[in-house]
Amino acid sequence: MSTPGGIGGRQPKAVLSALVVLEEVAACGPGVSAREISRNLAMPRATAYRLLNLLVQQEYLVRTPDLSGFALGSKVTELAGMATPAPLPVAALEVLEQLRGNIRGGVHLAGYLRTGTTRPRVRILDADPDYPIEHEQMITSDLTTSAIGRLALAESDAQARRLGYALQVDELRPGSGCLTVPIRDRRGTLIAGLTLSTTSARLRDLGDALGLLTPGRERLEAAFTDR
Amino acid sequence: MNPRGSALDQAIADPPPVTGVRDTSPMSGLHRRSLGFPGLLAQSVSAIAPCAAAATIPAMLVTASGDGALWAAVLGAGLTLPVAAAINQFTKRVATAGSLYTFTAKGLGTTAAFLCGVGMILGYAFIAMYSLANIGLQLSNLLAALGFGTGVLVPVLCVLGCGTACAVVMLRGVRVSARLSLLVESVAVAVLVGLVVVLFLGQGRQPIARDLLAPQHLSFAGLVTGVVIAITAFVGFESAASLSVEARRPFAAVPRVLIWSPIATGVLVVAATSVQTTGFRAAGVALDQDSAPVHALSSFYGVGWISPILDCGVAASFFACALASSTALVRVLLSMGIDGVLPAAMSRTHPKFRTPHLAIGVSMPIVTAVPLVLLAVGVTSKTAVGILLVVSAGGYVLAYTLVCLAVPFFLRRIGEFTLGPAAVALAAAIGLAGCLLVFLGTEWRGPRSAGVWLFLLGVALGLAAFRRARQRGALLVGTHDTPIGAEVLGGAATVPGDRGPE
Repeated sequence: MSTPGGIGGRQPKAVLSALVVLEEVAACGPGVSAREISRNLAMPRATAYRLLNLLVQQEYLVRTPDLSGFALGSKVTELAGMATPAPLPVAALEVLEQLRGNIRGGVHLAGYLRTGTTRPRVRILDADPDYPIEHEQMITSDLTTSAIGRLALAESDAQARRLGYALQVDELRPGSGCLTVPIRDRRGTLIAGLTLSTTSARLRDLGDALGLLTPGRERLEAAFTDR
Repeated sequence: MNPRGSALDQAIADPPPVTGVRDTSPMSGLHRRSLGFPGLLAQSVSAIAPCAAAATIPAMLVTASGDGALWAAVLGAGLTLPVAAAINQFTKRVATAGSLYTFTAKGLGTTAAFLCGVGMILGYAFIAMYSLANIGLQLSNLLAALGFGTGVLVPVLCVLGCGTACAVVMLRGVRVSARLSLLVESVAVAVLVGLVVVLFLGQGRQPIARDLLAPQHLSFAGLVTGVVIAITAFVGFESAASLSVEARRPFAAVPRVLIWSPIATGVLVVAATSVQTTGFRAAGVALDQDSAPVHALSSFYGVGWISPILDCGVAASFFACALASSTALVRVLLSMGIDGVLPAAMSRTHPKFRTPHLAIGVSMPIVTAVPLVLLAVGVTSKTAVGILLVVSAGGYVLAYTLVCLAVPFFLRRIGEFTLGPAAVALAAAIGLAGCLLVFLGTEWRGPRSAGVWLFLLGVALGLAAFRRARQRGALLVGTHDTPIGAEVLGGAATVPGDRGPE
């Protein structure tokens, strides 16, 4: 690194070379060694080692525990503009397990990004293994079709938001529906939704259904904010 | 998945898991990824204690090397830089609390690593003791100058207070201690720079005595001893490496700190040596008799009022040094505990503060008790306190020699061997080894020979403890901070169980 403070505009070759090295590590798979990189790219060894170290320093690459191999760091997803979902806290998984043990019906956890904007994003964080989600593609792409999506859309609608839950009955599959309650972080932003997927008959007694989810919702909020 | 996408796109869309990566690292008990660059810089700078060094080392250099004092300072600074470059071959690749001890393990294996660890423990512990003893001495001198007599109670209490304060601050967390040390050290350095500027201006036309630039009577042994003493001005620069687990981007930040802190200190120490040694001649200060030669200098140049301020600065600098050295010491002990070389209790960390509380509890009482006892029984001559410095210097230089020697073997082992860094490291190792031998030989024949005996005793005890630990079972030495699942694109290859503290 000859320029203190980073690569200057006069060294575009270094930037391109670093990206080429990154691409090569991705192509070779995790654990590739420095010598293999320099051989595959026909790059002088000192240059390859220097670029690899630079990428490790900036955390785009990590060294494998034995120190002689390289793997892509999670920071490269910033290059792709996509956030990788962080693993769920253990406490959250425990809450979900307990709920699933006590409730007859599917208990799923969905995660939300960019709530409150015009294009919120939904993904399924943890689906109930005993009650597979049938229309996952539709749920994540068309938010109006499911309770999960509707909760995200409700963030922009004050009246719907005051309701405190989202509901879908008989619309995707006759005889069944789902109910989603919000899980918020400390600042009140919607970050996840706890969903109960069950028969329409059970959902008609809304108070009962909400009562099943509320204790779990509170514990999940605690689990997420403790993180 | 787009088949025409680049390998990077495909890897991001469908990341392959990485074997060997877990959800936690062996050093997850510490507060990983929490400390920024200023905190690391504070740690290294405080451990160096530039103010205390620049105020006290020049006098020692003149005593050891006579006319060669300035050259000893320059050579000492010059030798530290290749050592820093060699250590950086490790710090840009490996993060660990064990610092040089783990690095040596990666290159030279178990026995050499343990020897390096013993050197580091002796180095850090004894310089912390030396610093605390000096605080007590400064206070005694101040009290005597103010006419409060020469009782030992107040200095003893002061040392006890400082030791306790260090322990508490270290327990509370590394960011607290880093901020405190930086504040203290900055103020102290500012005062010293002020003094150097004043002395320089006061020296007028002939700022550097010609004898210093081209010394006439120079003994080789004297010069080498001076070089080692000059190196003791810089020791501690590597201590940011022991915070690499807690640093935010360790592979970028730690190497930078390790190069810049000796450069900055080098400029300060060489400048201070130059103006002070010139000043000593002009003022006719008798260094072997005067306990505070810098005071004599400042009164000679008409700035006597700066002396008490400088004393406070030096005392503060010594406190920061004790704090920083102890911070590094307990992390080396932690790392040895994780490796099984020391009892596993050493590897425990406080659940809330994420600091090595048991290592602190074991080491701080000893580090505080030794200077306390010395002060209490009145064994406080320059010689007595200097013995502590000899042991520390021996420990540090031993550790540096071993880690420099480990560099070529490490680079070969991970398949990144290039001739340049290996040659520099080897040259530094040979230089240091030579200096160490000459230094120990010279000190052995001098008034501080007890220091050499203590050093050798420490090394022997350490090796004996090591052999006993080895007999209890095979040792896997060199545990470092491995990346955790969340930092790697593919995540952990094993099913995530309990994530544990991160």
